[in-house]
Amino acid sequence: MKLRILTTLCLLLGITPAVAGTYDLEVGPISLDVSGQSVDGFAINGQVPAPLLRFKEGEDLTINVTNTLKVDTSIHWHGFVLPFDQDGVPGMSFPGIKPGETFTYRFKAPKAGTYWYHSHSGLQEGAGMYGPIIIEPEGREPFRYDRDHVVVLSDWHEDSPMQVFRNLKRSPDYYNGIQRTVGEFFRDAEQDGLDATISDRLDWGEMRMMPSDISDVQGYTYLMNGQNADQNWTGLFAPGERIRLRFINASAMTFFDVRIPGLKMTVVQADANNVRPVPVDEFRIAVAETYDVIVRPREDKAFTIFAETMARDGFARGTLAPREGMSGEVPDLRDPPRLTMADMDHGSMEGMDHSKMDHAAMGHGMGSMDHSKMDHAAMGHDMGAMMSGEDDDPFYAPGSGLEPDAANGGKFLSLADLRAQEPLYDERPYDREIRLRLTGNMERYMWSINGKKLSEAEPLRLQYGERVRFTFINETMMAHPMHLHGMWKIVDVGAGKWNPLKHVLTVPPNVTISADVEVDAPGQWAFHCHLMYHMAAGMFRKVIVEGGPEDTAMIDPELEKLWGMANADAVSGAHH
Amino acid sequence: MRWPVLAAGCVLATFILPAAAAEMDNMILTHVSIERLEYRVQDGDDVGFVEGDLVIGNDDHKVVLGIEAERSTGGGQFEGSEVHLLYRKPISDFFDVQAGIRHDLAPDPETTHLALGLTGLLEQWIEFEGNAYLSDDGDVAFRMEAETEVFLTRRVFAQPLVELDISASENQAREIGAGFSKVEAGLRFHYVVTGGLSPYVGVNYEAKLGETADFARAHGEDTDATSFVAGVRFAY
Ligand SMILES: [Cu+2]
Repeated sequence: MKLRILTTLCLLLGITPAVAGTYDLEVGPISLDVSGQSVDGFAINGQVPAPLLRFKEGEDLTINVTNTLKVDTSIHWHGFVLPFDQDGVPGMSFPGIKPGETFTYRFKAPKAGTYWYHSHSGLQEGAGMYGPIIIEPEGREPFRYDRDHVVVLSDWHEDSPMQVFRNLKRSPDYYNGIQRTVGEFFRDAEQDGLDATISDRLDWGEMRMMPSDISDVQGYTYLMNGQNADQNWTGLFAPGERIRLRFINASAMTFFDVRIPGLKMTVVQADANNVRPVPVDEFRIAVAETYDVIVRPREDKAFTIFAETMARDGFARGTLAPREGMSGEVPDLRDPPRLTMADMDHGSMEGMDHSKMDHAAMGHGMGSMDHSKMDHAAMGHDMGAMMSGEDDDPFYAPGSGLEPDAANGGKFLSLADLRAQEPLYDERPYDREIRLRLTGNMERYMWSINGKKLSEAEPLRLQYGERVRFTFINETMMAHPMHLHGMWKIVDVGAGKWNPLKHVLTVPPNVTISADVEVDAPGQWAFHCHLMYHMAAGMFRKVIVEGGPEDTAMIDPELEKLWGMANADAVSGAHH
Repeated sequence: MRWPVLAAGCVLATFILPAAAAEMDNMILTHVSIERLEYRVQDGDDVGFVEGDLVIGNDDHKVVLGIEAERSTGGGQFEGSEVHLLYRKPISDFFDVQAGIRHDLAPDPETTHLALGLTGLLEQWIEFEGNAYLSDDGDVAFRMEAETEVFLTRRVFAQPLVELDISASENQAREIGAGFSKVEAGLRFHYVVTGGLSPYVGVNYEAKLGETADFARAHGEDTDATSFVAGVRFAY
């Protein structure tokens, strides 16, 4: 009791008793069998996913990371606001961790929330090197729950990440198992008419694009907390309890559509930032995003957590149950989506700037494309979506084939639904805008920003203290989850000071989204698409923040060179 | 023998590629792909056929060592066999330009050509390769190949293919006449085991044309052959 009074006193006086913790992590090889075949990968403390780390907000952390691999490694603290030299990106924040070496990370735990950590060396994160982090709050949270479970979603391939990358470079459709078939042609012809179907096929052929190009890599085994669908990871509850599920998408390449049939989910946090509660039936979680939802199962029965891939080539599955060994009904996979002409780049079409049903906007900027072809292609399969009007998600191109619908016909979370619970920054106009076109060449599996790969581009230079608006214009046919290290993105959803903060912002095809960044973190930072093979292929920029309280001249010019070398080493040595 | 020279050239070319580009987004990768490794059942002697290449390079520069060989089961000698060594560079989103040498080991006499061509993806998913050749005898010739894939199910696709040879001049020694000299058309049905492995069966038709066919007839040879083929495509 005395201690309690003392603590209260300290808090009142503004003196927080120093919390400090030392943690030891060891990176090593592992052989994992979750797909019916033993495959080599990377583990932290012998675990995939890596152990759950629980830190206290503001805790002084000392984390010793020992590398027992034969290749370099690193750990990046995803979403953390910390000094750049603790961020763990080889060649940008430090030289990486050599074999046999121990690197000690020292920084303060960031604000409370659900985070994760992963390797930033080569393609190691694609072979098991990722784990969850919970930062516990100092004070009260704006929502109540009785217990929480971490739900780490990931993808596991029998081909080593380097092999996957090689195969994609040689043949970008190597892993596309859902190509359009002759059977589909006849089905569409019956539905939409022969002429429409033929001209639709010709349109796609003319562009040398595939509407089935939803995800670059299929054939993964999808995992929930490291367990495959049959292993059925189970989280326990007592009926009537509020359960907080902390979803983390630690996949290399996979977007998931998540639902728990029979339960409404209330989204309370996105990317470690509390949001005004949004009740939903289903949500899409992009690579590297986190969503915290609260569910309240009242019945004494098992509920399936069903995380279907966006391409519908598989699912991760687990169970919420009052006791071990129970299972709920597992739904069937829905049909794979098909991109529509609306997902094509029309140059100047901007997601937020036009009303969804504005047909003039649809014709706008389409250049030489035949408008009559355009209409039925966009309208053909997505008549429903086009007609539902205001139900449309403004963060997908009007008529997009990628735009999700809830399996039960209910509410599917949109980025537009997110409102910051407590804005971190004052609202103010941005000082300048940086326009970033997300670009690529699918046939050559080259990915870039403004047409330039990392190796060809100058770093982006920001000035400490400025507020920069990043405007992302996706000119490719794939959704890119863009991740800026070290600084929050205040995503413009049209809610002014209530715009949500994110560390990953997904930009669907043919959509333009803006996000403001308070440039408050000196140093140099990584900025990239979090699809691992897009990042590797060049959709990446170095961001240098100049000026500020700490001298950024401490950036070692040697690091510039190391960036290339550290990665080349880690790549060639991947899979031992 | 020009073989050793060719091999040495290939090794050398690998090393003069920009080796400094250690970054992953521009790393040098090596790929082997055997487009067709097949057995052809036809009138007369059956034939074994292989076509494939080794490609080394990054996004900007590639070196290609390719082989195409046809061997009859009867005579035991190569009906035709050629190797080529090309430098390849992107010139547009979908096309590469390539230049180098092609060396014919069979039929006799051995001939070396300078090669210049284009390879890439045409609209409607037609893979195209067209090359012009200048032989050491001074003959100019062209070859065009086009193929596509049509998915019948998610695992089975049909692969139509045509190849056409044109010669600008006549060459008595090599029994090639001026004009269209050879056509090949095939239809193969592949079963996709993985993106890199697909066994197939199909039919293949080959015919010598025009004056080239006259040369063959003069020697009492067949001018065309239809064969049933079974083979495998694989890549690593
Ligand atoms: Cu991407």
